[in-house]
Amino acid sequence: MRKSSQIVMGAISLASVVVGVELGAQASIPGAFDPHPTVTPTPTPKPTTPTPKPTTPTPTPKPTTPTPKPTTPAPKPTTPAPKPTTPTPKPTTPATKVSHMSDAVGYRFGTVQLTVTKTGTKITDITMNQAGATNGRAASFPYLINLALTAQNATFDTSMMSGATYSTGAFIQALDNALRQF
Amino acid sequence: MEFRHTEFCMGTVFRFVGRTNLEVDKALEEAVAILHEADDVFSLYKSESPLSKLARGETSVAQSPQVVDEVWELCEKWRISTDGWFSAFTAKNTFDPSGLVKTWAANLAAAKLESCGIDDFAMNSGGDIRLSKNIAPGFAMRIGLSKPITIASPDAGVLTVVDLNETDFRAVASSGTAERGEHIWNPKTNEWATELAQVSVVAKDLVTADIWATAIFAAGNQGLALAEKHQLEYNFEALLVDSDQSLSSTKGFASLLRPV
Repeated sequence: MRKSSQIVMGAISLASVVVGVELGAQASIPGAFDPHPTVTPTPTPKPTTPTPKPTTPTPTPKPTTPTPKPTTPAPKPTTPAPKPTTPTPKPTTPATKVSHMSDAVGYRFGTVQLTVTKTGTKITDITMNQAGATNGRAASFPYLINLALTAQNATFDTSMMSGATYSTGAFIQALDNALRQF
Repeated sequence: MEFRHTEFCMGTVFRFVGRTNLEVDKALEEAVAILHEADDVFSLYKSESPLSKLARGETSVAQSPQVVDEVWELCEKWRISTDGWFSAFTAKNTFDPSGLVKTWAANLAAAKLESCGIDDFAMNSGGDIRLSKNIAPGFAMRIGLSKPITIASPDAGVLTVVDLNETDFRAVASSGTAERGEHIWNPKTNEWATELAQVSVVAKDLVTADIWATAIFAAGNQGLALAEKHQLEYNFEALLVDSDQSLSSTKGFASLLRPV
């Protein structure tokens, strides 16, 4: 029943259609969608015609003989400036900035590699060294970077998102890999 | 002590985040072994897996590992429970239980951790979330729902947050076309299900949430009626996002929603 198909991958540009919230009895969802008015929804493309239904009815009886199926398928700590011998009032030294690059993570739609910079214990920057992705998926990375940076004060654990999977997975794996090097 | 673990299996990512004072490494090893074992048996992408052999007609269910028979029975049970809207049979009448196996195995893996005394964690199985039975109230009980749009889009983001604090619900599953394209079959018409963009279901257990999310998605315009008919018996709430992005839900869902 579940079949992966790339036909519509990335094509569903619902680009923020205004949401007509119709929750049961007009209850409104706090903070659900950001409504972006004036956008006309692009129609979801129809898939290619599915394979016609075989004449055989529901497959409930467990066959004793199997049904045939066609083959499918380096840390660079900025050294604190040496203290001058003269006791000139030094401004407070900033927290050390350290960057680590992840391994390249291959996934279904490309390769992801990133560099994480921490200032002290806080993640202050993430840059993509490789953001391989087909069908414009690369555009998601700024979103994921932002999510990772704000995770430090998000109201929910950003690794617990229901919905998206593949590119998020590769990003999380690369992020994990880089963080492990600290 | 906090622990975080990411495991790649079944072509997706499984993520554990939790707290324990116990030694977690060995338990995690045993838990993820369950995932890989299930993948070895049920993957249709591995040509020598028992399920691939079954699909090619080289073996029968009786000759397959016992677990294949168990999963077959489970799929049948759910097919009947969902009025036929969940089906593990393809249009060509071959058995493809991949709609069930991921969360079925994830649930066993999480239960393994719990049996080791590690019971304060959340698990994300490729977008389907399961909270452990004694998870500490708070942060991890708030779960983000993706917008029904590929994360490749600049508009991607969090649709809303469901808060499972002070409820019996311990699982959230979403079905949709955003990230994987059309992959859910309408078993009644044998066409791709396209009427809905995403369905998210909260339930007490992961498999229940996953199955109903899939079945409601497959049912399309009849999905809400299907959900309302069965939600009391199976104790779940559902949020449906239409292909034109309008939202509808079962009555109790609104009370779970929080601002992002």
